[in-house]
Amino acid sequence: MDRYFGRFGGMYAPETLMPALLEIEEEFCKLVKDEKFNQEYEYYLKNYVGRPSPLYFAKNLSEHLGVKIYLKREDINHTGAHKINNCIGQALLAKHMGKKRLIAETGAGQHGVATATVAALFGMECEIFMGEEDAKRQFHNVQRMKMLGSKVRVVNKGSKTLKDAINEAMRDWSETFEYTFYLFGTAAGPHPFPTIVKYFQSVIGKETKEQIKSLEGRLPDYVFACVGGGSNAIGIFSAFLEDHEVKLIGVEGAGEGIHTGKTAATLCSGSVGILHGAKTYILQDEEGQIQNTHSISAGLDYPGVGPEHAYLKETGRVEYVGATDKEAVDAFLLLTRLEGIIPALESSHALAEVIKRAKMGLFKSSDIIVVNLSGRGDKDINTVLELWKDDEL
Amino acid sequence: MNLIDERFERLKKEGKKAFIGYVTFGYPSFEETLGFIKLVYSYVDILEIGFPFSDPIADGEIIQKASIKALSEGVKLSHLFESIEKFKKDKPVVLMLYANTVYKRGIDRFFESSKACGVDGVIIPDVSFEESFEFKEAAEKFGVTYIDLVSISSLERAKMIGKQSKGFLYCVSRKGVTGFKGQIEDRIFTFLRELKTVTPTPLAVGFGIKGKEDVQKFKDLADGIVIGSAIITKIDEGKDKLEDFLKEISESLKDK
Repeated sequence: MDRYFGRFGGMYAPETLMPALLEIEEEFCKLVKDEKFNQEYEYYLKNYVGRPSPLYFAKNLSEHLGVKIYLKREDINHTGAHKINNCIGQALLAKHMGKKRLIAETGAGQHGVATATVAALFGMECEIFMGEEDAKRQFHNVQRMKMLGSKVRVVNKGSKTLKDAINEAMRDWSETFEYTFYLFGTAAGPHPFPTIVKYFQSVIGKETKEQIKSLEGRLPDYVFACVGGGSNAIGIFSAFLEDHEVKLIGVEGAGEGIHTGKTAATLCSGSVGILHGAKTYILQDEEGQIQNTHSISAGLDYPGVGPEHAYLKETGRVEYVGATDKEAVDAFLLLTRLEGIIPALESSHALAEVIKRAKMGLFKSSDIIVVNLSGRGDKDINTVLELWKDDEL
Repeated sequence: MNLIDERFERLKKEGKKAFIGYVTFGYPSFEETLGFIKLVYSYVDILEIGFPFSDPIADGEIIQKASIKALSEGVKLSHLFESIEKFKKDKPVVLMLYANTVYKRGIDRFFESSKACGVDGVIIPDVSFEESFEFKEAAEKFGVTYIDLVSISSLERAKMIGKQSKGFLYCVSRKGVTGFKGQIEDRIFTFLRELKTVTPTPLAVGFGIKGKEDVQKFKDLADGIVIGSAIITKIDEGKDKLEDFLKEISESLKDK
């Protein structure tokens, strides 16, 4: 199994963790070829997660913006986001490996909730690491995880957000890997996680491709997805990477603006470095210290990005741009009002870029656009309420 | 012969074990750090200086806190290089820092500057053996010893790494991060014995060694002992306490 995507990726991990990572790689390689495992995974995707998720034609939004827009409804999945696809897959892998305990990091809480959910489903012990800032922002998700029977370890070190939750989870794992499986939530981290997460999220792209062909008889012109670590984006992009006529756009959390210093737009304003096990783009200062990030969306508030995205940026296959907090909130409100769908603030960034381009007249009226609606926005209502004024629309 | 090899040779002849002491550069403050570093240097056989990183995943709470404090003091790599030049004598100095600090400076440029200021060896705890080759190549080019780490979590890998190791082999005595939690597991002794059979490189044991009693346990099996978190804790207690501790460890390693 290749550790690298071009010059990105790798296994930059403490020696203590290497046997654990190599064991996961070996078991994963075996399992993906195992028909019984794949049948079990698909069974849960269909009957527990609720797949396939619809590809919904957003008629009102399309009319409003003058271009045909489809939404891949990952928000309809059980637990409310794409995260569950990966969690079911990795939890089955963990079970197969005989691990009794799951640990996971979470930013917005969606991955934490999904991990706590599969732990309940499969009867495993579970502990979720969450930065103190994020735990405050996502109070309800913290309560959900606890109700599901998981422990939540609030991390009050560093910037108290996702990167610190990952650091702490890695530390725990290096001590407990004999009985613990680290259920990594995004397509980042040391090999083999980027490949594993992509594998389990590629269902999004496969379904989208079939659905759009059956609805429109052809491939879309554009696919938009938000990028924090990049798991939903790599999931939907994966099916279209060889279809060069499909333009793939990854939208990062630009915070107050890409060049303001208050941003989480790693690919747009970062540089190549090594963080959390992989060589990839990161937000760092001149000395190589990791910078604090800012995004209104806890799920995008990460100074790194999956190494395959770094590769796709460098090869030019995917275009990466940033949407600001304000643009994301505007998009959140617009979709809510026009379609009765409350999107996650993460997904709102992808929508914001579509809105921006439509307003600038960058689409042809015949264009078909797919936006990966990676999750639902119930968890973000408090955040939006701080900014929302009801005369804004 | 480089200073690290020379030091181990000499200690072997004298029937002694190496005392490898760790300090975080920039701790407890920008002004005081050099004083503490010099004090530790005067007692140890090999000085290990940790350069702080914002996200130190291989370190436990004590070194992590020290790193955060040191970063808040505004320390830079150039300050570290300048400081080493000021005190370096005939005892080896080894840097411990994270991959991104080296990568950001440029791997070649980093090893070139390290050599120029008197660094003898470099330890990068988040670079696995698999990813170490570009770092090793640059280290060799500029005459700096690249120190490999091995972990109790896999004897098989430790043997593979040990066969190619240079300077000393840093043996992580317990699962997890730096700093002491619980008892040292007995299997470390079998691990060291087995490792000895495949490599002539001196073995240095670290992670979780907190005092004289732990040192005694390893004296017959290891060629050196690394003490980090315990030194940082003593720095917090002041120079006198630190000096007493360094004396005690140093003497216990020299007892036959």
